[in-house]
Formats: sequence, C-alpha cells, structure tokens
Amino acid sequence: MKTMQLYKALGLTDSEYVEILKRLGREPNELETYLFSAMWSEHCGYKHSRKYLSIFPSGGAVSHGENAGGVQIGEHVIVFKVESHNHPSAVEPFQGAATGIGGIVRDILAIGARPIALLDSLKFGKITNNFSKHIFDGVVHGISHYGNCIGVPTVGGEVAFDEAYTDSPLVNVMCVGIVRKDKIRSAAAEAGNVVIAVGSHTGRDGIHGASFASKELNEKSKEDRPSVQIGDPFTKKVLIEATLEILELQEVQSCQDFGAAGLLSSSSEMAFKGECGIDLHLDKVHLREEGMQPWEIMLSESQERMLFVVKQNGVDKVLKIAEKYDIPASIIGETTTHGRYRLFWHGKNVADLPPESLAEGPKYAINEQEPIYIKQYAESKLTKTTPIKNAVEKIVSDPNFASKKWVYRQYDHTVGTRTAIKPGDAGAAGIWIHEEGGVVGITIDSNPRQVFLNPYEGGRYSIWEACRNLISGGFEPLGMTNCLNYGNPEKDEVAYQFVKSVEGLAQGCKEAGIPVASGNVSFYNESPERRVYPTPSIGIVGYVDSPKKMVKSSFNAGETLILIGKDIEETSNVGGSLYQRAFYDFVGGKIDVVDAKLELQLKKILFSLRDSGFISGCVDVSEGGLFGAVFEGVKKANTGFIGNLISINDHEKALFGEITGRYVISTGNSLIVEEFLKLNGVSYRKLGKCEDKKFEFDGYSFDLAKLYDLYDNSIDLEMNE
Amino acid sequence: MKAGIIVFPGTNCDIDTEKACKYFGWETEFIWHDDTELNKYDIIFLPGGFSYGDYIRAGRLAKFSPAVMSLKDYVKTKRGFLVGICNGFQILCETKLLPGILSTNTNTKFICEEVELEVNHDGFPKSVKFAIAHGEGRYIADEQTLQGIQAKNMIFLRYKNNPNGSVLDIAGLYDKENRIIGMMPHPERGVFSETGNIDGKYFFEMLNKALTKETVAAT
Amino acid sequence: MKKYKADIIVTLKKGVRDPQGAAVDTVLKRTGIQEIAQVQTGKFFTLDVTGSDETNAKAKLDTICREVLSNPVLESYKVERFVEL
Repeated sequence: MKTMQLYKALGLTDSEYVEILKRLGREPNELETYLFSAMWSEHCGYKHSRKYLSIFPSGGAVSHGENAGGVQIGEHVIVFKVESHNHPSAVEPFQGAATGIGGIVRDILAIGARPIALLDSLKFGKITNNFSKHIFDGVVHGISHYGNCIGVPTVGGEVAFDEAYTDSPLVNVMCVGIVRKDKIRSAAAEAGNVVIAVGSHTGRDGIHGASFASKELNEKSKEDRPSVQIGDPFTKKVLIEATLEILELQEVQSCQDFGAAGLLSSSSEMAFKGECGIDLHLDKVHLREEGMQPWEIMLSESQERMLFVVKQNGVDKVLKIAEKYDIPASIIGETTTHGRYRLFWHGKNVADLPPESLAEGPKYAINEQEPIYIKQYAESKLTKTTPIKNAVEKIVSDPNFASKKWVYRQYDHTVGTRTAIKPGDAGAAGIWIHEEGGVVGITIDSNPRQVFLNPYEGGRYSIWEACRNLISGGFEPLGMTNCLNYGNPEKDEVAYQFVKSVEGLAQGCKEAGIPVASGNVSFYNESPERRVYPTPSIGIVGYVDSPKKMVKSSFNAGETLILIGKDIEETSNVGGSLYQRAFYDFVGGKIDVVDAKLELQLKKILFSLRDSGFISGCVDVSEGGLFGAVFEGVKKANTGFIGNLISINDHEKALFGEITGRYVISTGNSLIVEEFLKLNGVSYRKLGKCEDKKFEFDGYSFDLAKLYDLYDNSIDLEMNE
Repeated sequence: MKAGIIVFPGTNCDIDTEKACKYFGWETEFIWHDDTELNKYDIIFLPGGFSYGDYIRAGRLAKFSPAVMSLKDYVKTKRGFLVGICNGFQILCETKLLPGILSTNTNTKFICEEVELEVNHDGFPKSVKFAIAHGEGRYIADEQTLQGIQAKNMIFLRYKNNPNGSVLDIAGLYDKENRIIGMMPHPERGVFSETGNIDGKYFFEMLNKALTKETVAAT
Repeated sequence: MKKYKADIIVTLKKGVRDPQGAAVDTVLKRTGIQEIAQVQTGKFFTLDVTGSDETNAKAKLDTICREVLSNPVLESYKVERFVEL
C-alpha cells in the first residue's frame, strides 16, 4: 500500500504508524497520513516536551492553554506569548524574522487582544563572523520592516553573540496584547456554526514548514524551497483591524490563527477544544495557485489568515467587514454534532478522523540521566587574568554588553503612544496602560551559559534574573511565558538539559509566585558542528499601578550608590559569567545558586524604598557584574563615579563576576536609606558617589569619554565597516 | 473644533493622533479613505503609518484614494488646516500638495529616536524634541523648488543633527498660504507625560490657537 | 581579460506570494484602470563582469546572482542581457 512508504517519507516512525492504526482501527488514506505527519511533528505535537511541560504552574493565569495566556489587571487582561522562528531565520534572515513576528501577533489577535508591544530575544554567532553579521543584519531589518509597518512598537529585548549560535541563530519574538476581560475569545468551537476563513489567499507557501522546524539544519536546508514565506505586514495590519472589528460581533463564537500546519492545526484544535465535529469543504478555500491538492491546502502556511466560527446570523456581517477592508473571505465549512473531523473535496468525503487523534499526539519520555560533561565543566577552573584597565575596556566594548542602539534605532519603539520606558533605558520595557492608569513592565531574558553548566539551577537563575529586571524598575512580576530553545532532544545531553531546566524554571516560578501563561518549544537547534546552549528565553510581565512609582535605572550626579543583597566573596561561584566567556573563551565552574527567600526580601525592601521615594535609581546586577551595573546606571544619566567596587583579592571576579540576589541603588538620602536597610536586616555596602566626568574606583582611574564611546559605538563600528 | 483623521489600509498612527486630538478637547472622527466629504472638518490629518504597505514607494498608492483626491478641493476652499505627519507628509509630497519628495534615509535604515528641532514659528520655544520613526524621510527637492520654499518662508522644522540626510536639514514644511503642514516628526507622540516627552503639545496648541481665533472672529 | 555588461532581473519564485504586486493589483482594481492586472514585482540589476573568456565571466555572473543578488530560497533570476564591452 502506498501510504506505508509515505508515512516514513513524511517523518512518522514505525511505532507512530502503529499507534495511528490502533487509534483509527484501519489504515489512514494518503491525505490522512499527511495530516498525522504534520500534527504529530515536534513543532505541532510537542511530542518530546509535552510530558515535562505539565509541571509548569498555571494557577492565576487567564486563558491558559489557548493561543496565548495572560494576567488580569483590573478590567483588562494583558495577553502575552513568545515564539521562535529560528530555522527560517537561518536560511532567509529577513523574511524568516518578519514572518516570525507575523505568527506571534496572530496568536495574540486570536484571543481578541490588540497587540501593543513586541520584544525579541536574538542570538547570533560572533559578531566578527561575516556569516553571523549577515544573519544579524537581516534579522534586525526583518523585524524592523514588519513590526514598524504593523504599528506595534518593538520596545525591548536582548541580543547576544556567541559562537554556539553560529549555525543555529535564535530568533524569539514576544508579543503583548490588551483585551477587556469580558471580550476574551476562546479557540473552542460549538456545534451548528459556520466556519469562515478570512485573509490572504492560500498558496503553496511553507508547506512542510512544521516538519522543517523540527529538523536539524544542514547544507541542504538552503535548498528547502517552499518552507520560508514572504511576510506581508501591510495585509497583516489590515487583518489586525478587520479581525478586531469582527471579534466585536456577538455572533462570532471562536477564533484561531493559521500558524504551523495552517488550516489543519487551527481547525482540528477548534474541534478538539470545543468537543464538536467539523466539516470542511476544501474546494471552497480561496486559493492563490491553481491545481492545489487537498493535502497542500491543509498544510499550507500562507501568512495573514484567520479562521472564525460564526453563528448563522452573523455570517453576512463578517463577510461585510472583510469586504470593507478589501480582504478575501470564504465560507469553508461548519461545526457539527457528529464529533468527527471530516474533509470534503468537491463533495467527496476525503478524510474522516476523531479530532483527538490529531490533537493528542504521542508523548515521549526522554533521558534524565546526568551527562558526564556536567561534572567535568563544574570542576574546570579559570586561571588566566587580565589587567583591570584592559578588562574594563574589553567589557564595555563587548557586543554582549555594549549599547544595542544600532538595533533598536531601527525599530519603531514609540508608535502607539504607550511607551513609558524605551529600549536602552532600563532592563525592562514599560508600556503605559491608560485604560487602568498604571504601567506594564515587560522583559525577555536568558542565561544560556548558566543553564548549560547547571540546567536545574540555571532554570531558577533565569527566572529570578528576569524578575529582577522588573523589580528594579518598580514592577511586581505577574506572569511568565517562555520559548525553550535546545538541540536535538533525542540526544541524551540535550534531553537532560531540557528536563532539568524545565524543572528549575517551574521551581523558580513557584518561588516567585508567578504562573506560566503560555510557552513554546524549539528543538533541533544544532548542526553537525555545533549545538546551541540550552536557551530558555524567559518573558515576564509585571505591573505598577502608577507611572510615578516606576524606578529609573539611571544614577544621577551627586547621588550615593549602595549595593544591596549578596556581596561577592572569594568563594563565590561565578560560573557562566560573561567576562570569562568574552576574555578567555571559558565556560565552566559552578554557578551561583538563587536564594529565593533573599530575593523576595529584596523585592519587599525595594518596593518600600520606592513608595517612600528615597531611592531615585536602581539597577539589578547581571551581565558585566557589579562594574556593569554601576557603569550602566551612571552612563544613562551621563555622569561618572568615584568610589570602591573591589572587595576581594580576585579583582576581575569582584568587578565582573555574576551572582544572584543583588541590586545597586542610588539615593540622595543615603543616611535614611542605610538606617532603613539596617533596621530590616538587609546586608549592603556603600560603593561611592556619582560625579560628572570622573570614573575612578579602588585606585584605578579611567578615561570616561573613551569608555562611553566604546560602549556606544562598538556594534555600530562592527556593522558599518 | 472638529478634526478628521484619514485612515488608509496600513495607517498605524490613526489612534495615536485621535488620542492627542481628544486630549485637546477636539471632536475627532476617522475618515475611511473611500470617503470624500471633507468640508465638515476644521482640520484634517493624514497620519503616520504605511498606507498600502508603502509598496512601490511611500505614499505612492495612497494618492489614488478618493479621500486624497478630494483634498485638493478642501485646500482650495481654504476650509481649514491640512496636516500630514510622517507617511502623511510623504503623501502630501506624492500628490504635490507640498513641493519636493521624501526618499530613503542616507544610512538606508529605518530610524527611530527623539530628535532636536529648530522651529520657525511664533509661540514655540526655539528648540523642541520630537520623535521620528521613518525609513524614507530624506527630504529632497531641486534647486529651483528650494529657492521657492525659502522665498515663501516655508521651512517649519529643521533638524539640529540631521539624521537622514535631508537637504537644508528640512524636517517639516508649512505652506501658510494654503494652510498645509507636512512633517516627518511625530508631535502626537509628545503629548502625554506618561510617555516622557510633552513637546508635541506646542504643535497642537499652535493649531488650537489659530483655529480658535477664527471661530471667535466668525461669531 | 574581457569585460561584459549584464542585466539581471530577480523575481520571486513561482508560488511565493508577492505582497507588493498584490497591493498594486488592489489599487488598480479600485481605480478601475485595470480589473485584473496580475502585477509581479522584481529587482533589476545592471553590472560589469570580467573574465578570461565568456564562459568564465558567465560562471562568475552566475555566482554573483545566486549568492548575492538573489536568495535561492525565495527568488529566481534571469540574465536579460549579456554583451561584451
């Protein structure tokens, strides 16, 4: 029988095929085999990860399990999600990144929310590598092209460069939307309604995109013709307005976007979640190309399409809105009480499946045994040193630490008139929610080196580092989303990294008291030569009820700087610190372990200081260590610093070592602040004072203008040469 | 005071502009680009965005919209102000309601930042900070056109540190005779203190003053 | 060393959606100038290429087209003119 060869060619395993036979009680026909191969691919079916993701806490999140989840703020819900577009961006950086934004925006839209902010976490190979430079340039240009055009500001994110990402760059995009609580839409459909497809014509774009994304990249990928699509931000912008207008209609019952595995995935999930049947007439779908076959129509990943389930009396209204916006729409089917997922082609029934057989693919257990590299790396020690003067210049000009202005200057970050904290101004972005009077703080962050060295503790570390980005700005963390980027999960090392880091992330969220609202997994980020670090990108959304309560991350001239929380000691573990990787190409040693009790105490203290108005600035200590925090804070106010930063014999570790649980604050009332810290039993150290035009500590003095110039221009110089 | 904001497919600063107009207490309506009844408005905005995706070139496809074709009549009857911001400025130049053209920035990249501007108008401070966000904002015109612009004192805004290569540092034009203003910077992004900058208020106050005076004079 | 002048047109591959073309189509339809125009957009390049002989120069041109002027994932190219200078 033909389908026997077909299933293998489509990437289904023998045991998966046996499972299909068992579930159906018969052999699937050719079309059905295509459907299973797409829905059971890693990209759609999460078969290697689903078992483990269930430990994420979700209590308190709104609309969890839908296209995107969120957290409630007053009468509104802030909806958010991150998604990867790693593989397409590696072969066609501009369009790959652009369509990545398109995809995540549709997820937010499907909930009924208006997208109000974008952030991205981007990882590339070394910036000095010409190929990486080309990918970096293309990705930033693609995000700029698409995000700017749809009028959603790109307000923040992170960009990092490391050899590990040379072959597999990571492009993770986070979108945040807002919707009134009573207007939230579900993907679940009810029987007896009409199914309408709205948006671009369906073509042969991205067919097999879902299975493409679940594949290691090799030289042949460049020839993977149809798997990358052209993004059309113009149609998307129009589709956003049309969709939001359609979702205002009472008669519209449910909404889904066309994402991975297109019509198949969106329609089968509607039926599965709504526990109803669905009949689709594929010859009614508006097509761009002639001669398309049913399987191509089902799997097409043509961009800019939405699927609606509408009551009979609302059909005309939906079609009328589509007409106003010049967007094609067609009635393609109906939801039914028979509970089957059925496809028709010119009246003939060509597929007939139970929806759950598609939606609930297999779940695999993967390796949880600690691989040997963990101990080897933990025991390795760094012995080299660099003179402090050179080290300081090196760190400020390292593209991982230096200003990312070259990037965010290309993003429209002020459209929407909501941007309360602009990119480059702080660790978190701030979006003014005028509907409720406060400001939402948003961050996306990752600590791949720490996760690589210790997946479980690295997971906790990542959560708390992202939380600190928000807390330092005065925001209470409320909910988390993630994009988990790893290598091939069928390999033991990767499997262990995944399982343990997910446990660490879950634990971190429980400690911080934040639910996981949504998430995404991207596996197979490796080539025969290189594998990415395990990279969970953590997006956290927080809130502060008044713009006046936001804490700046700049330190002003005349103010005193105080380090609060953990201080570094000779015995502190600083494995994974940027300076070790940047100066010596060294990744090793143990990583610092988060003390959740301390973190919670520091949050409370900082919020008290915030409310009393005694602190004017706060920076959480992360990449670049204590030096990095002080430098960034004074740089933002264009001032300088005189004081003492070094408290141990290892000067590099003192300055650049990365440990958890600490912030640098600035104050004009240092006596009162010190008194308050003492009273509350918080350990602290007075560092010095901000003074214009000077940069001096522990007997070292620096040419401040030169340091600022290196920090401001190093990426620019690299990209414009 | 009644403001109308023309919305094209692809416009994305319509809501921002509405927010700013309402802040000043103006009655504000959106005008879908198929509408042609413009004479009921005291001021018409062509807001920022990417009308028709800015395909072919910025503003090119929008000029065929019925609303834009009716603008000439609106201007002729001197009904009120016509203000084009960013993409709106590009459309005004494409339709020749303002002279010159906007081309790709010299660095070929989109630029979003706050810029310092020198303002050539009474009631403004000498220098203001507005946001810019554009990929095609380099103002160019031939020598003769530039002479005409200068003779008519049409240069309204000038960049202090020219970010995009505009000739004579031109950031905005004001044709006082026909009451047409076109500018690349976004005053509507500088109205609310929650977002940091409030220099944009000067611009809206200028329009407010000009039009209120007329309303008073007319009654 | 011989020198040649070449004109190259790069277009999207068949089956890849062309958003610019679609937008122009919409406007043409709206204005009533042309109901169905099937507009397709592309890029035009003209350049000089040198080589020991025609075959050598053409091979070089091919590399330029494939590696620099187009991305084979999405686009195809056509040499419209190739003349010796």
